[in-house]
Amino acid sequence: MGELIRLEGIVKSFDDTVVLNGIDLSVDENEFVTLLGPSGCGKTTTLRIIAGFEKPDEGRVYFEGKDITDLPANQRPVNTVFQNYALFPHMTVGENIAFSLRVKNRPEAEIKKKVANALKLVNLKGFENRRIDQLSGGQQQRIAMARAIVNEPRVLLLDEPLGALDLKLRQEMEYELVRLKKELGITFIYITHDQEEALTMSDKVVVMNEGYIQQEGTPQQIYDEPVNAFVADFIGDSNILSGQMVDEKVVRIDGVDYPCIDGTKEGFPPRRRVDVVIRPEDIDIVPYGEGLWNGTIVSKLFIGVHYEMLVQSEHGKVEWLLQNYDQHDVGEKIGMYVDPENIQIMHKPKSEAEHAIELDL
Amino acid sequence: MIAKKSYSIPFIIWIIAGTIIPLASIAFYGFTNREGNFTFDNVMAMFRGDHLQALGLSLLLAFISTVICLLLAYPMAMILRESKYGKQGFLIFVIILPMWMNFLLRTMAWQVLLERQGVINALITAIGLPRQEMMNTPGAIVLGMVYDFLPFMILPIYNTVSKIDNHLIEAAYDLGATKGKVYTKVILPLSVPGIVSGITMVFIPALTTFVISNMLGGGKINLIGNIIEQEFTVNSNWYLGSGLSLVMMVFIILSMLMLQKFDKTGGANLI
Repeated sequence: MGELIRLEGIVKSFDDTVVLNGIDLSVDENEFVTLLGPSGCGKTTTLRIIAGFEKPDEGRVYFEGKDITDLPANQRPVNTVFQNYALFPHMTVGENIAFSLRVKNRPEAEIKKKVANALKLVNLKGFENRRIDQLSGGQQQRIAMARAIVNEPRVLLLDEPLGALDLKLRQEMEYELVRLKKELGITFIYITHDQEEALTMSDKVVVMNEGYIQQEGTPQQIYDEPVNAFVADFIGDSNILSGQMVDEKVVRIDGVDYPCIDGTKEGFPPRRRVDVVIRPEDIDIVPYGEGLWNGTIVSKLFIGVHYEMLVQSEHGKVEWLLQNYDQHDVGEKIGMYVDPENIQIMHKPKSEAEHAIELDL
Repeated sequence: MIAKKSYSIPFIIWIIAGTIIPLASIAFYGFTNREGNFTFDNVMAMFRGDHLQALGLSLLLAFISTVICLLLAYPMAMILRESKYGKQGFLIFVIILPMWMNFLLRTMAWQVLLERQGVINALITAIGLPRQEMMNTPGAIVLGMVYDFLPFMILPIYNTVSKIDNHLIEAAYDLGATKGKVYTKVILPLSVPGIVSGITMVFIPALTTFVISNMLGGGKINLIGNIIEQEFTVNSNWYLGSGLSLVMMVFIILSMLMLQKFDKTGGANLI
């Protein structure tokens, strides 16, 4: 699996607003890469630059080592599934899917076969003659997929394709997309602001904010080892606390010293001020006094599978978020324990602005 | 949110007074002779030589004007669509501006320009070219029609093309279409409703006008509108005028039906 697409130092601004601040990104052949971030983080602009709809102000785009920065969209070996599907309303389903083949003047017999094939791939066999306005949102989504893959692109770009679907359909489509990618054996670059979608489907997640790549890695890496408070906060629920290294591999949070697994070697020498993230599901409830610290449960919510509790610590002013399968009552005094492995130490941002963070992965 | 039925009464009265009664009286006069008996003569009079000739010329000039308007308006509407937002409002304003002036005055202005002693001839002779006869020609009438009706072509087309989702155009490029194919396969088909309304709004008034042909044709070129007008005003023959009007209405309905065939979205966008 070699490198397929590479972005080098992409800078883009619209009317004095800098949208991308020097993006470097490498996408391997056959990879499912997700660009994840809040709206306005630059993920859509990045995708549009790869598709060829926008030209970067600075930086180059490479495809298989060839510079395609100046290649127009209609000559790039990539196809896009648009957020609003962008199906041609004046054409039938079949004509929509056949569009890319017709503009290339392929023989009709081949077109017919390929369209039928594409429809089969998205489980909408026999839909050729339907009109676009007769389709449900989920069906339109599948047709948009079929239209984008019928021409066998090397890369499929997906711009929040599941954004308009309801939760159940979205989860179904997540499985569909993974299956489709396996069957096609092509590269997917996927855009979403939904962390669950990103974690479920991707080989690689690229977290973006304010025009910078904050972190890239496997879903597991991103979840377990966020490099900064933004990533930790964006990916799932977490307790993000200010702390300080007090000794080699000992960190003080909430007025208590905890053992952790990061030390000078990882870039966190004693006395360094740090951010600490602890996932709520990593906090174990133990009898009062037997844990690393003690607290009182101040609120409790039942969220389907587990209970979510807020615990007021006795040591400092911190309110901890806990997720636990066992029920405990509000007002109960408990002890809490966290495995040192689950205390994730992160660098403090050098300034208030998140983008000032220097990433050293 | 269901409006009371009584709210519709003013509109029903309006439709009866403004549409049904006039139409009924045109139909009554059209099928009646001076003695008050039923007759097809007034309607069949359209097929008399001079009337047919006027009708043919009207159709021809209206057709030419509509085609010229379409050829001018479509690129114009596309330019308006592409141009930046702030500029759009201003350009549309400039296009609509002449419509704030009276239609007769605007046509009269062309008289001043085209006359034998007019502004254009003054310029032509000033550079040593021979004086041109421009007034009272079919060309002058077409010019007047295009000038007066062009905004009615631009606005509906602009209205339609400005609503074409940019993503559709991007999708077409993304799927490998060249610029030409994007136009013929996506943009043009999606502008059909606007083109159809534009054609309707130009062709029908151009076909029935008598003011423009009066003012720029000098009464020497008779369009069917002039003949109908003269029957009502000069000859006071309401019967013949009504009969000819009925035939014209049939022509207009037929042309609209033909246009509808091109518009897949059906009649909803007509006018």
